[in-house]
Amino acid sequence: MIIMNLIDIIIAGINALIDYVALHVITCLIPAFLIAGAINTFLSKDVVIRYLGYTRSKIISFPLAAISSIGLAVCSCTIIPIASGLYKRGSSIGPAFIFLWTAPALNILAITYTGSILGLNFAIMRIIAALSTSFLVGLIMVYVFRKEELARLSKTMELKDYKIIKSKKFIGLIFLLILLLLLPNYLGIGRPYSEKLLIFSIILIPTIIYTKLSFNSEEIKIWLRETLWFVRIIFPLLLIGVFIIGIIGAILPEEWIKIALGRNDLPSVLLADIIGALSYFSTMTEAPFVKMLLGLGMGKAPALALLLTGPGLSLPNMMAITRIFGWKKSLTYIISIIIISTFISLLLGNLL
Amino acid sequence: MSVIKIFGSDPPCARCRATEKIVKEVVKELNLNVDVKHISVFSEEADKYGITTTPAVVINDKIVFSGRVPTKEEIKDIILRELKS
Repeated sequence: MIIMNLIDIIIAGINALIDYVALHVITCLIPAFLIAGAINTFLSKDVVIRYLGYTRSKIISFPLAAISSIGLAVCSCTIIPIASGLYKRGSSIGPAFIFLWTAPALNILAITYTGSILGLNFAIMRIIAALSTSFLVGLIMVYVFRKEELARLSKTMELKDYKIIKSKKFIGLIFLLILLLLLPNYLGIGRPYSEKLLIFSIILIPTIIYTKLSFNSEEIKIWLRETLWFVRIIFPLLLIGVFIIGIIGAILPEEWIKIALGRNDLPSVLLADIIGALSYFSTMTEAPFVKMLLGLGMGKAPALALLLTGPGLSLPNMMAITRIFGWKKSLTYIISIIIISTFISLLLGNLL
Repeated sequence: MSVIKIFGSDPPCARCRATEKIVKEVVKELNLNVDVKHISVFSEEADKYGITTTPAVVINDKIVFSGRVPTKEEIKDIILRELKS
């Protein structure tokens, strides 16, 4: 084992900060945070949640739970309260647990950052893996607890006439922000960073004009405030996380990673899955962590497993779920997730 | 004495604490005799109100604001509206 001196280690941390953060701030992080802020400001989460509780058919409620989790839990601190609320407000156990799993997996910030750092393939696989895992686990939860569910859901929910999207102009805004996010990176593939910045600036102009024309200053203020909230809560932890990842990457021996996680077979994937399930990752830090391990020789299938369970589960998260839903549901959920996500990662990861 | 209840996760997250801070500031500015309490969204009381998103502000037994941190102006309008009677 090579003994590195302190300066080398700090340089490794700083290099990681430059690679994973500085180069992505303008063209990826800023649009992503703006999107998160817009979703939190202009979407009525309450209505979506009550609608989920109202729908009984699995064909509607399962996909709805998964897709709406993109817009519902932009802030990871609300995931467990919302899942608990969904469950108690009359939603079947399936959608509640689907939401619990897909919300961190389909988090808009995490997906865009994954695409930016690990590439489009990883981002897409992550989405497919998260959705398929959650539907299967949802079915398991519904089946295992079917007797209890029958008794619990005998009361129906009332659905008043509410609007989900508070302002139709929101759709135009999201469209422009997504362009702002994707075009510099898409059109700018392989091109110098300065060109990406140019494309970004060009798209920024109509975005600003549209915003000024569509929303009053109070709405714009609230939107920007929400965006800054996300930045304040998430960005410092991201910087610290990336710095530590850089240091770990410099110190961790390559042989350890190659032996334990280097192949795309069951043991490697299972190990990565369990490591991710137990470890806590603050929002977005799983992507640079996985990139670092890939650089040290980790296989793509274990990488996918880590991308799923890293943000999706953690020891504190498991304890909170147990406190709210009881140990039977919690244990069923955790074991199902680990088994199914391992197999799906094994399958899809080998296609990467 | 009236009560303003703020429902949030337990332990309280940053947004819940910020909401409580803003509500307390407005109550102080308006010089109202109001008690501001933070209650866990996992409690039975939260079930009573049907809380779905946090933070959630409850005045006079109904949810008056939820889902994000309110601005001072928004909370001022709501408090004046609810507690005027």
